[in-house]
Amino acid sequence: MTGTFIAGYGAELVRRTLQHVAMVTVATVLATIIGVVLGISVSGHERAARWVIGAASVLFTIPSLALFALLVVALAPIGQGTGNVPAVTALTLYSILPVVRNTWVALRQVDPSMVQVAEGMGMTPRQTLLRVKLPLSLPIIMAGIRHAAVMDVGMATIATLIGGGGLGYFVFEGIARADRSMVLAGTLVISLLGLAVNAGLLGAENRLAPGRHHRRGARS
Amino acid sequence: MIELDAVTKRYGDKTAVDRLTVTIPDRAVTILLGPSGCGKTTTLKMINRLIEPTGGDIRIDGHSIATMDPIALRRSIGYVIQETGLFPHYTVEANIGVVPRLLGWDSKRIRARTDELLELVNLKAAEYRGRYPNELSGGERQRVGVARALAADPAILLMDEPFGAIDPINRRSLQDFFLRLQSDLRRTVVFVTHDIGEAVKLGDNIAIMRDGHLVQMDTTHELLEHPADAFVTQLLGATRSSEQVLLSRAARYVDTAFVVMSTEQLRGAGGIGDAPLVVLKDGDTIRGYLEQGQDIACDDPVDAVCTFETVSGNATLLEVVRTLLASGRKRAIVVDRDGAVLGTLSVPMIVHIMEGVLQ
Repeated sequence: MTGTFIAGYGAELVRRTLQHVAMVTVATVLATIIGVVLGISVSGHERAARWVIGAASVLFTIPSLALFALLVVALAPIGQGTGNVPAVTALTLYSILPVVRNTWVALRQVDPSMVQVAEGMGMTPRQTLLRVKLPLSLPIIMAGIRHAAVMDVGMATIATLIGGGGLGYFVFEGIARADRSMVLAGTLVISLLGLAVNAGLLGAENRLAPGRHHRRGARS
Repeated sequence: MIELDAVTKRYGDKTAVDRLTVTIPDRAVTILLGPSGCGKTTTLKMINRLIEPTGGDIRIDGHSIATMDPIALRRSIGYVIQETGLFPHYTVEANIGVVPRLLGWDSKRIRARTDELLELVNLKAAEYRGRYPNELSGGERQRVGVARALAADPAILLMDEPFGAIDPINRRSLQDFFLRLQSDLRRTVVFVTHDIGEAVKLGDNIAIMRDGHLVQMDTTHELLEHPADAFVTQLLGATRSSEQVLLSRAARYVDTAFVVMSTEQLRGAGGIGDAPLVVLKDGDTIRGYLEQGQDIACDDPVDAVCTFETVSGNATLLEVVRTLLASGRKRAIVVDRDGAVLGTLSVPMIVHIMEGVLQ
């Protein structure tokens, strides 16, 4: 059965896997940029932070199918009602919350004495941010990005419903045709993709961690 | 010279520092001493403008710091805080290079300076340069912290309880290290502590603060001899003069009845002869001491030397007693900043000194 499936759908599977990965990548990168910039700009402004994170949370609570549908309607006037654009937009919107929330939390948990010593040695606010606060926040920010990316892998499945492509095709087509192996193949690849993204980003996180062994709590 | 002129810091209706006027002399260690909440750290942070005063003026060499660019001011002043001060994501070299990099030095010059400073604080450059702070002991971290503060060769060092979070034995050796360093470098140091023993040991001058006020500012010697009021006396740890004498520096009370001999001389003499006490010292290394009346049973008198503790002449008698009691050794050999022997002290001698004060 596996043999016939690969023979029939092999090329399609590869093509759609690449599509899936492309959507997730673009959405995660966009969300990272938007989320980190937002997180930095609201850090230190308690009120603004609550608004921004509140707004991102509201976006997060919209059911994914509904958000895709809403974007189809919203983007139709500029001729982008179906396909990649609404799919990536939806994924990006969802991913902003974990990134912005983690960035904000991470910047708040930086040891105040680190910030003070940075300022005391004559760093400008910008240097303090780039050389001390952000590097020390990196593990938590990276965890937020990882959370967003893994979530996107799953959510990108519905992109196929609005013509966005990706591995969701196998799942939904499989259901329509009552083809169990199609559903199974799609689900399996999506799951493996999720695991791979998680492992890859975890590896990156560990490599970027400030200080050798720092995150294993060796700091005493 | 750093002049604080009626400096005041208010937070709402709380006054942290109240019209503080102090002149901090150049090339000496001035201690800001007082109980927690007395405004000493706030005062320190006003000198590098981490905190802006509500009133009054601070001048460095006659120039009001309020007119200076705070960033440039801070880069020209060394700053050391408790052991958390090193950046955990930077190597030792990167930590030491922070201010030089801010000042735009090239990497070759920074490397050379880092190695020079690591040497200065007794850490092997090749071994330590690439380590991260979590790979260092508490004492090593603090040495790197001091090296970092010295990186751009500042005339002024601000130190905020730098040895506060370190265990007593390491703190003692860091203090000794700091004294040696300062006798070479002669920087203008403002040093915050709440530890009276540390203040006496390290300070050329001590400014005692309470509730944001200056209570007394004097040389350490003057302050111990003539405390201004009951608060100072109490802060000095004792209301009775017999206990207060424990805060005197060891150098003042050492037993100077001793002779220094080298191994060769001792062997040549075949014993210590009439000398009350012989300190055995070869070159810069003190090997031990021999006392009159001590049983020298072995053939070689060198085998009979007693083990000892070395303490700085600046250390308080209290520190000497603590060190001896902790190690179980009988005598401490007191040395000056260059390692020359000033004399010896034992616990019974210190008790005797206290009794002498009582009479």
